[in-house]
Amino acid sequence: MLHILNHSLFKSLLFYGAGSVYQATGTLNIDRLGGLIKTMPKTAAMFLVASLAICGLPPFNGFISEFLIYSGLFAGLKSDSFAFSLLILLVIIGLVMIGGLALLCFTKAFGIVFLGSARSEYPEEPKEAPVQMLLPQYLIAALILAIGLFPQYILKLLLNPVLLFLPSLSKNVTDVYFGQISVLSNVGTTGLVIVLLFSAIYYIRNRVQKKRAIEVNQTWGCGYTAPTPRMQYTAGSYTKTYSNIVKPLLKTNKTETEIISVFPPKAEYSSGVYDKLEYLIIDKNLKFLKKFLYKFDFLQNGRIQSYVMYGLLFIVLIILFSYGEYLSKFLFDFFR
Amino acid sequence: MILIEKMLNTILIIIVSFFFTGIIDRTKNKLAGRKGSPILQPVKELYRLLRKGSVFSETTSFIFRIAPSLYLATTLTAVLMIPFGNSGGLISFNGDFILFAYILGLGKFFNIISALDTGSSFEGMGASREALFSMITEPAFFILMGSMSLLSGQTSFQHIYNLLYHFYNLSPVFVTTLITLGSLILFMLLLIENSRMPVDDPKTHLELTMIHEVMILDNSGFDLGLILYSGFLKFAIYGSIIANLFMTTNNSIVQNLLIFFGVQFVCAITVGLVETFLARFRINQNPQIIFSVSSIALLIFIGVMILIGKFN
Repeated sequence: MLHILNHSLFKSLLFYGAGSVYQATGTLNIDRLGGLIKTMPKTAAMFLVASLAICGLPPFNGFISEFLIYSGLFAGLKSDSFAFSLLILLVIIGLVMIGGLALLCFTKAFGIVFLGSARSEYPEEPKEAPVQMLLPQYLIAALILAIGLFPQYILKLLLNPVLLFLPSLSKNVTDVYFGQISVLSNVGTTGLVIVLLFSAIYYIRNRVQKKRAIEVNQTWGCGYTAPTPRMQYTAGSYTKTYSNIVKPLLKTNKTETEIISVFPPKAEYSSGVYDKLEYLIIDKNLKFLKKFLYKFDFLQNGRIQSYVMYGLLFIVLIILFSYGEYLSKFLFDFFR
Repeated sequence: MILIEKMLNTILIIIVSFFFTGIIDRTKNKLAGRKGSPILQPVKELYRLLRKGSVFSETTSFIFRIAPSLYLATTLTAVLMIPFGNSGGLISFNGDFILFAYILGLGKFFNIISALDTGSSFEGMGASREALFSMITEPAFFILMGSMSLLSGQTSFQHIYNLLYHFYNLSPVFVTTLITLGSLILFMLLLIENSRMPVDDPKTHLELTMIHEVMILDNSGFDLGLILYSGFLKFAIYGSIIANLFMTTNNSIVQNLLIFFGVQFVCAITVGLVETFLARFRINQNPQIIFSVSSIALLIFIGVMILIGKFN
């Protein structure tokens, strides 16, 4: 229940962010974006909060519900049947992997869209989203943080709606529930500890840095002195190592012109990823269906006469069909 | 008094963190036949970095500036959660190891996006690798903790460790095996999480072959110092998780202290040995090696199942 609520919060925040980015740049291809944090820092910060929450990282709300799910699973490990325990362990492994995947995915989304420098020319200079668009985002982000840092209060609020849906929950389950509430207040406190420690370290850092020389220079290019934004890592390259592992599930389309002669023509390389499951389940069957339907190609021959004949045949068939009962009786009588 | 007891491990980890890397370097130097730098050399370098000014890339944003502080903050919070023998850490509750893993994840998240913030292709590459490897490392930790919590029926660091030895009378061989395999897994995690050989090579000279080092290429001065110190702390964290496996409930504090420092020392020396005698694996073979750690963890899980008679 909490997880659903949380998802509704950070998903909508993510979509708000995506909408603002789209409006500012006019493209939805993340490989063409980049460096937006400088022109739209507020949207970027909101998107960051949402990404952290969706990765289930503390101290945001995603972690709270994920924590509850984990504790449920670890409690379930103690069940009597071997098969059930094994199943639960697999679920835990799955959840952990999903958490890691979310991390990979959202560092990619946030990193490629907002960080670095622009990967292509924008039609016009992107601007920060107007206040009306930012306000709902602030509201949601505040809720996300509130649930993350003070989960115990929200959980108390949620008890009654949950009981409404599952009236069979007995008294001792609600006891467990209140036990979890005290545990969760610990989680919230830990979140506060992180925030406090961070502010302390950051404060010291700024104090120390004030006295030192701070320079701004180009990113270290390993000695290469003419870096261009096109050399940055793109979304595809970021996930390359990962997609190599799941290769059996993906179909990569590559087009490449090899460099052969001494004065080669302009070389090209592009690659795209296509979901193999989609290919197997949808595209392949569609192909079969198409092939089957093409067998009836001869019917559509373009002659008016045959179309008129189809119509006539259809009418006769309809008449035969509607009088089917009568007709069969007649035939039955006739042959007796 | 209780507070001091709970603070004990935090203090110990911070002490050990100053020596850990020094001992590793010393071991490597001795084995290579060199005289070697003093054990506190890394700390001196840290101090030097903290006093330096820094250079920021013009492509970076505020992310790049807050990430190192946040990285240290998360690592320190994780330190607070580690128990010491009988006494739990400052933060200790049911299911705290889940939070522990996710807090380290938070630090990693910021590390990764700060690497992407520089817009350097090398750092993007490092970030991509780090994200992938940490994704496939996590299951090992969770399976290990899951099977130990299954064995003890508890879900917090402290209680899991305390109850581990209740099963010693039941089957000494099994508990010994469990501890050995558990230490092996945790040691592998220590190597992977701290980006040491055989998964990553901290001393490599080429940006293309690095994972963690390449991510912090653009950090300098105070910020680099923060990241380095978080690395020291991470060593000590994993070392003390391993050390906790060996502390029984009826030990005195002195015995536990001896075990603690002993295990940390052995860990550091072993890291040095591994780095001297092994070369880094090819990057595309790394996932297999990391997965194999998870499979050892699965072995432990099955073992626990057998021990508590789930198969009947």
